Amino acid sequence: MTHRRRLIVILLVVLPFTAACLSFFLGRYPIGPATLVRVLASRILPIQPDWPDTVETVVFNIRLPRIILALCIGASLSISGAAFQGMFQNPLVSPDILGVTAGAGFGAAVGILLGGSSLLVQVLALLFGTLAVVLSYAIGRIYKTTPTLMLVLSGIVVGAIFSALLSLAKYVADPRQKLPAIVFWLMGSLAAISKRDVITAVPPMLAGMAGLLAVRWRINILSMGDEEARSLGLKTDLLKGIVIVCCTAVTASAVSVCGIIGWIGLVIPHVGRMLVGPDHRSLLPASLALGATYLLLIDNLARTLISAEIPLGILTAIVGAPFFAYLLRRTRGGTT
Amino acid sequence: MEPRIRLRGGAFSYRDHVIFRGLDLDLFEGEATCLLGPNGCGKTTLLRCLNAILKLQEGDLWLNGQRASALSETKRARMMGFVFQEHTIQFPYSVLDIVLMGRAPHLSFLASPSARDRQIAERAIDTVGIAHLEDKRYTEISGGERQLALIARALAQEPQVLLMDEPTSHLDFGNQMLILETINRLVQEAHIAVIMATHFPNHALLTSTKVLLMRDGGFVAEGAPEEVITGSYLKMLYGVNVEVMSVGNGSGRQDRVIVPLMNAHGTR
Repeated sequence: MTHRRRLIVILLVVLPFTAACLSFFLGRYPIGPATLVRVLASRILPIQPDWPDTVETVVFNIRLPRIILALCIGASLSISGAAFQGMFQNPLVSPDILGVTAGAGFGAAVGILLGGSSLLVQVLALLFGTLAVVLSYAIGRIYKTTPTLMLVLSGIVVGAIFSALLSLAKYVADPRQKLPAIVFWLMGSLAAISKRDVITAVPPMLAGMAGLLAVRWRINILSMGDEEARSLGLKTDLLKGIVIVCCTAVTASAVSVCGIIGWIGLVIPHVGRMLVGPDHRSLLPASLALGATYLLLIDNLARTLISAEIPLGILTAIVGAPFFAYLLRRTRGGTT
Repeated sequence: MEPRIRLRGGAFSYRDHVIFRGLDLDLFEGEATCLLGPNGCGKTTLLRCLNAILKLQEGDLWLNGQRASALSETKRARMMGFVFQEHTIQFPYSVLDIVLMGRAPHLSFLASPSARDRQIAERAIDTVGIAHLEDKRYTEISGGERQLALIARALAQEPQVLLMDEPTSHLDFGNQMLILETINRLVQEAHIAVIMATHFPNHALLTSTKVLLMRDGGFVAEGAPEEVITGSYLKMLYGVNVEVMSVGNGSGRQDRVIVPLMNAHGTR
């Protein structure tokens, strides 16, 4: 391992943890470093609390869940972006290529129209996000195999259908209460999350990420194209199935909690490739670390920049899009 | 001796369009077989069927005496490597990363290559003489070097058979010879059976021990290169008049070469 590479690896490990620690201090309620350390330690060590209950609530019920979810969602979207870009042999692919966000958006809109609780909205988003991917996969599957191009095309078809259905849901929504709720949901936010979201959404995200990490070397082979991968003895349909299931588990869970957050899954893998190269053995872990840190920082901006919450989707695009333009210029449209 | 590959009555068609039918083929260790024939005669499709990338519609295929249909993808890939035509790829993997992919059939599904796999990949890179390119990006080396890297990847599979699809077609003169010399060395030293499709009768004369002439989805002749690469056969295959000449190859031996005759084209 070269000196530069070792430095990058250390940086990628340290970065998310540092960002997480610092994020505890951000927010309207000031908490000093000494208090914070003792509050956190009190869960493990027998420390007599000499701080107000509010501090406990802010740390454990508000900031900790939000930090955990921001890290997990950022990591999920980025790692599935990297995996899909490899599988589709196209660095411009994002995790919603098979229609998962369009489906989830429609599901959430239906939940809001039905006047349901946040739990119903979340469940319907998860359900329809998954349904969209299943439909794309079923349409793309011909002659017992799933050619990559067919998957892309069926993803476009399914995405278009759910976008239209989402428009229909918006059109019939009550414009004073439900329409704004749908619109805000689509912009993405972590403002309304709770401890329960951590319990429901984090396990499938961790499982999906573990699955992708387990097959990451084989994604290299898949990225050479179907015929070459098969000739090298790879069960391409099995591997594609695993990648799609894992990516759907993580993206659908992420989207169902926080709404639609674009750009991360597209941009972060490019940053990863610049740092550690195209080999998915290192690209996937790197994307995970970078994505986790990036979304946490964006979410910190979202909750501290102005007195109101800024939707995440707006910030990721405003920061992510110009950065992507810079990357494209730097690599002259190539693949870093 | 048991053939590495045995095909009997092989047939393949896309819907109503017959690509080839009734093909018999035996490939033995230490043999280099050249498939020669005009564009669209079915050479590439035949190679793909032998590699089971495409499925034969009729006929029986045995690999090392075992029925190909009974072999898993993994087992097949351990016996047989396919050298694709060099091509551009989306991601700038290093040459070593590309060659390491050849280890896939020897690893369990969730495993990554070990230090030993790396050694085998490096040995394969060494065999084709591109050790100096190991850490270079595949996207930044020349077409000939890419073709050599793909041969190294197939060798990392540790196969007994190599299938090659026009390995010299996009390469300059020097690189063509480099690939042909590499193939000769593999057949003689590594005891690998090679079958390659080619558009160059001269390449068949330089490398092969056996030549199959293919036209309209069938074999029209089969035999030693000097028997079947003749004026009349090439005229039949390509409609081109040629002169077969003998030249000294500098080591006291005579090599045969094919020279196409331009002014005879009017007679096609």
